[in-house]
Amino acid sequence: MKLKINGVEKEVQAYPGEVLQRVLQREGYRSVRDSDDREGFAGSDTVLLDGKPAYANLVLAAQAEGREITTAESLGNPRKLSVVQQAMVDSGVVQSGYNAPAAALLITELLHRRPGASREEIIDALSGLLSRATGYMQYIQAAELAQARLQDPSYTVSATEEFCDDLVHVGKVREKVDARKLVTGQRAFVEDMVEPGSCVLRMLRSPHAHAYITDIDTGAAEALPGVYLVITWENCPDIYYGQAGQGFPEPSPYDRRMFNRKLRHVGDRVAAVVAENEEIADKAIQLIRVSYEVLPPVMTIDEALKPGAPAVQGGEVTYVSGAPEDLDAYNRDSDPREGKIIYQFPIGADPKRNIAASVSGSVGDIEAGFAEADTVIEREYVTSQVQCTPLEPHVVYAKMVDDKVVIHASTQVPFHLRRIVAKALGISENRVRVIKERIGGGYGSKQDILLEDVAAYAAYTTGRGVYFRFSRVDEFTANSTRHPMKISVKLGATTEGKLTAVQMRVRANTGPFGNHCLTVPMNACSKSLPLVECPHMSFEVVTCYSNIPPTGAYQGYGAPKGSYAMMTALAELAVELGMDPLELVQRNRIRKGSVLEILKCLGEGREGAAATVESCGLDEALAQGAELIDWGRKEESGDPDIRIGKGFAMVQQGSGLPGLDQSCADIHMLGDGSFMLHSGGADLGTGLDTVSVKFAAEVLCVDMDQVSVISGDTDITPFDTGAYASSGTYFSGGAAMLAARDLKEKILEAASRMLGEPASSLELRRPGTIAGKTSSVSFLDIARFTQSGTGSGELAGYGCFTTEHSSFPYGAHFCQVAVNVKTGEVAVQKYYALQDCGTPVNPDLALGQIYGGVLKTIGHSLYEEMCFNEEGRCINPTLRDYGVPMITDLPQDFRAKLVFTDDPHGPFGAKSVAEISCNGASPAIAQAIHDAAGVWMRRWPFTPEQVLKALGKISQ
Amino acid sequence: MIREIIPVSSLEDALDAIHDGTCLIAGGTEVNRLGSPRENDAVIPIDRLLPREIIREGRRLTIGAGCTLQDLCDSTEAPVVIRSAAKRAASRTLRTMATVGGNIASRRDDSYLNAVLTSYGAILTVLKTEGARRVEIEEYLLHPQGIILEATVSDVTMPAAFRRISRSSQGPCALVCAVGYDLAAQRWRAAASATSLGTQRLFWVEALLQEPQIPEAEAITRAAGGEWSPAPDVAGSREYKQYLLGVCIRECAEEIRRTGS
Ligand SMILES: Cc1cc2nc3c(=O)[nH]c(=O)nc-3n(C[C@H](O)[C@H](O)[C@H](O)COP(=O)(O)OP(=O)(O)OC[C@H]3O[C@@H](n4cnc5c(N)ncnc54)[C@H](O)[C@@H]3O)c2cc1C
Ligand code: FES
Repeated sequence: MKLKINGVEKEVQAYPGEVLQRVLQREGYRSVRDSDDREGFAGSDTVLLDGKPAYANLVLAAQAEGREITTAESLGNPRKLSVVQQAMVDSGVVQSGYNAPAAALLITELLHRRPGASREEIIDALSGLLSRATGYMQYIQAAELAQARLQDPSYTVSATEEFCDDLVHVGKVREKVDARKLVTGQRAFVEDMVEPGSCVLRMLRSPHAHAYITDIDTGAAEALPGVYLVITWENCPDIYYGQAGQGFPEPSPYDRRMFNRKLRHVGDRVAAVVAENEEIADKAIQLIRVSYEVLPPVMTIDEALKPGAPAVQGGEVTYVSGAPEDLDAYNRDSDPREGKIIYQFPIGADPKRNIAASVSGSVGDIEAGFAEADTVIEREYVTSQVQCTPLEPHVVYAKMVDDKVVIHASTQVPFHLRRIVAKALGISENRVRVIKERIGGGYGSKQDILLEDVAAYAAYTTGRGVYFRFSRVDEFTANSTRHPMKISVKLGATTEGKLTAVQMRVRANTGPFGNHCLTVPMNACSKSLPLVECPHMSFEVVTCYSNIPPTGAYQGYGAPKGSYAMMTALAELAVELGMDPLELVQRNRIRKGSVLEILKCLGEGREGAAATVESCGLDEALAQGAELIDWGRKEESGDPDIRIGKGFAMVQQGSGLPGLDQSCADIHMLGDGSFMLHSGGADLGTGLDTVSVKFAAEVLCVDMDQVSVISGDTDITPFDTGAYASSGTYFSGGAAMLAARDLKEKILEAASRMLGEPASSLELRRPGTIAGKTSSVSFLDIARFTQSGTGSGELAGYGCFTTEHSSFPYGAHFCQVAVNVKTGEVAVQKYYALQDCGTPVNPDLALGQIYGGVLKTIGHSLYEEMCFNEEGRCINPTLRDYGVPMITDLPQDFRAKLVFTDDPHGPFGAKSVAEISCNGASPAIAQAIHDAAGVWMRRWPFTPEQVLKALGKISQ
Repeated sequence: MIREIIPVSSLEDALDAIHDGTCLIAGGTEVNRLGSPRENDAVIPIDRLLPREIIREGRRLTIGAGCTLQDLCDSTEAPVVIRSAAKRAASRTLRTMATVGGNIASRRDDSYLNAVLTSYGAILTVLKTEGARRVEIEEYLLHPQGIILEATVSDVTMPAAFRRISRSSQGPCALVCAVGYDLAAQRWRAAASATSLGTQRLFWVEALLQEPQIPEAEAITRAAGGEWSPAPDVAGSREYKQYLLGVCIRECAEEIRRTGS
């Protein structure tokens, strides 16, 4: 058929009922992607048809014949961006970038249709686009900026505040280094790397939440022409490992093989088929015959911990170190069908009783603390299982290059991925190369190795390129999610509102496997208890196995739930004491100089250490937030059924894991005096590569375009533990800074030889010159000198960032809600997030991270929920039914603000920013609902129905 | 994936081509979407053959079935309630694709348009083998047959109101309900859309509304217990939906009384 694409008539091939998106992808229009398998929700497939927006997945190619098809490719290219694309880049909205081209197209269409569009019209134009990374606010700013520039091309005012007058790049709004490529829809993601002739991998998944495979017959599938491999528990490597991408030795157990005889959740791996194409693979999947012995599933924390509950992981247990003495007795009646569990060290597990991990600790004397109290309250808070929902689902392309497995991955942890795949395949790490491509959203879920192991094994076994991409339903059944938790908080205080005792008990549900089973629930305590000063504190964490879909890392890593429980309990205590909750917090919160003793007991699987707060923006964040929201003033709606209330929360996180994380980088001076930086870090869209380039350019006194970066390629870049635990800027950025400093020393030494002056008398000047007393040399001169036949060799610097110091980011979130007491609906009218991330290195990108984190948690608190039927199947596995927030859900007045502090240990004073943003919305909204309607919402999500139940309008 | 495309040059030919395993396609947003029951059908494209005008003659409004939901939102001829019901359907991108005829014919459990058009007493013009026929919308929803050509509202000045309750702006809704007051006949009309029930005209609610006083929400909820029983789903329990029906019907009726619009 003939299609007119971007003004050009093209002869294209299409199957009769093929949708336009498929055809456009095949024709090389990469900007037209898909995030939800034709759900018509996420908008990554947006094109214009006769000038009007359309989802290319919902249009048959045949229906587009004779119509003008416009894709984002028509707007501009990386060397020449359109006004809208440039405005998006300048507004910091191009982060993970998976559907940035679609956004550019929608804004372009709007500004063409409606010059002078209002905010409402911008929201309406973008209503068909899901963005998880940046919370939409900057899309609105980008549209407004583009609009202003279309009227006045010289318009340059940036909406973003800048920091650090003494620095050139750090603290300034600069183009994100990959933004041009992403906004124009260039080759960037794993799906763009798949070579012609590659195979696809499809997974047969368990229909049962808990079952043994009693028989599996793959004969017919294997006999199908075009099928190259079928992998099951019978022929996969007999090697145990864990899927959590954590530093070795991991606190998470090795409790699975690639395929297991026992199935532990609906969607668990039964068999993988590697075939010529999707149709053959799907056919082969249907030919696999499986018999199951179905077991009773355990779904909830209470069911799992009930004495006599069926064991989810009942296999033989071994320890690499620290095995208990009675281990033989413990293992005596283990059923071999259950497999095995290997612990690197004890984590308080008792898997036969479904306890995956447990830990407890205290400072002071908790009972004495409660005895001192005039008022004691104890409350329980329940959080639900929620999804990361990255726009780009989990995806991998693995192939063989000579004797090496090369994995194009969308991963936050390239080096852990290499280690785990090497282990799973039984080969050494030098035979595995991981290339991290651009990541279309991860939010923690791409810290786990969910599909790379199978694809790598398939490529290794067949010698073919193997492409494996999760469907959206796979995401809902086999992706890591937030652990459901029950957290009880007991507080004691004097009548003056001084805390005397704080106790936290966490019960968490890890699901079928123990990824992060110790560390995520511990984080619920370690990121909330240290917010207050109290001499007597204790905590207890018990994580159980169950048959819900897997859990794991999710932005905030346990902290959003701990923070919800802790901050809501403090608000409840304030009400009990007849005190303003903000006043109660002010009387008890930590300050600069506070010593956080409780952290002694909260090391992640090793001994912890008390830490001192060395930079803290809480004073300012709380003060500014209170002023912005007019704290203490009661608002009226004028309608007796609409009640207005206010709430707040103070929040904290960490900046990487001191003593555990390590990041390395090297930087080379090239022949013309420009630089090539190799960073082990994994930029998952947040702008880490830009941070690294900024740091290097700042140290070396050059413009950012003089520094190129390659990151997260295990054959090229040095080691890095990866992008998790809020470590990117602090650790990976820190490594880039150290590497540049090392190189700077070498540059000075070389210049000293060239100029005949001691290095101590030389000065590095912008742009790229070394000035001596009498003369100077440029970087070009130095490069030529060092790389000549008599030179000392290419100059290179190396940096390895490790630290024992903790740099905690802090923040305060304030909100105002309107509760309709007749319908139970809750509208967030105002939301102000004030955050101290030390030096905001990329202020625009930091704001985007804050907006994104807040909106995710507004979603978790009000809308999102994975619902299950009795068999343990998720019954709402689509983005719409699950309830992700869209731009039409934005708070009416939504502001993020950066509170500057200069951290003594962070690179250029920086701390982390992204994860902490998830910690405030839940408690702030819960408190505001109480302020409005007098009911406490102690269970996620606070749906209209739950609000009505709390109000007693419908039965519980 | 759609199996085949059956090109036709007239709506009459399209009608002839409808058999088991074939279906019409207009905007395609329902037929092509994930999980569509039409996944393996052969499709008959009619998007370029359907009327696309929105015409106002006096109080009468005629909406061509080929209009998109966005055309309807943008039309100054259509009453605000109908425009805002069309606007509630998902996103602008979807609305610029989805047609009015396709939305009515999809008979979705969450159709705002069907509930509102029912409350207006809309009449559909439907092409059948025996020719174009006028059918009440609630009749069509019960027995869908033929190709919808247009929907007619005889009195756009009729006061009406509608409510939609869901957790998030584009998430699944627990309830859509609409109420209208036929000034000429001095009769209330009420309709609701909900899971497992689709869009229904609620005669029992209309009877309650005919009383001199607008019934209390609790009275409607109580009556719903025996009359209207939507299935529980991710959007909420049955009890919650029945409660909401009481609250929302009363609110709509009060709004109509208050504003007379
Ligand atoms: C993510 C998403 C969210 C949505 N949310 C909502 C929502 O909240 N509320 C809501 O009401 N809808 C919603 N929709 C549905 C959407 O409004 C419908 O898909 C759309 O209105 C169907 O119109 P269409 O022209 O695309 O129909 P098509 O997909 O072309 O056809 C739909 C059906 O109607 C038949 N048909 C089409 N035209 C005619 C005609 N003239 N006469 C007779 N039969 C015809 C077809 O044979 C087919 O069976 C949503 C859809 C998506 C994808
Ligand atoms: S259908 Fe639009 S992104 Fe999938």
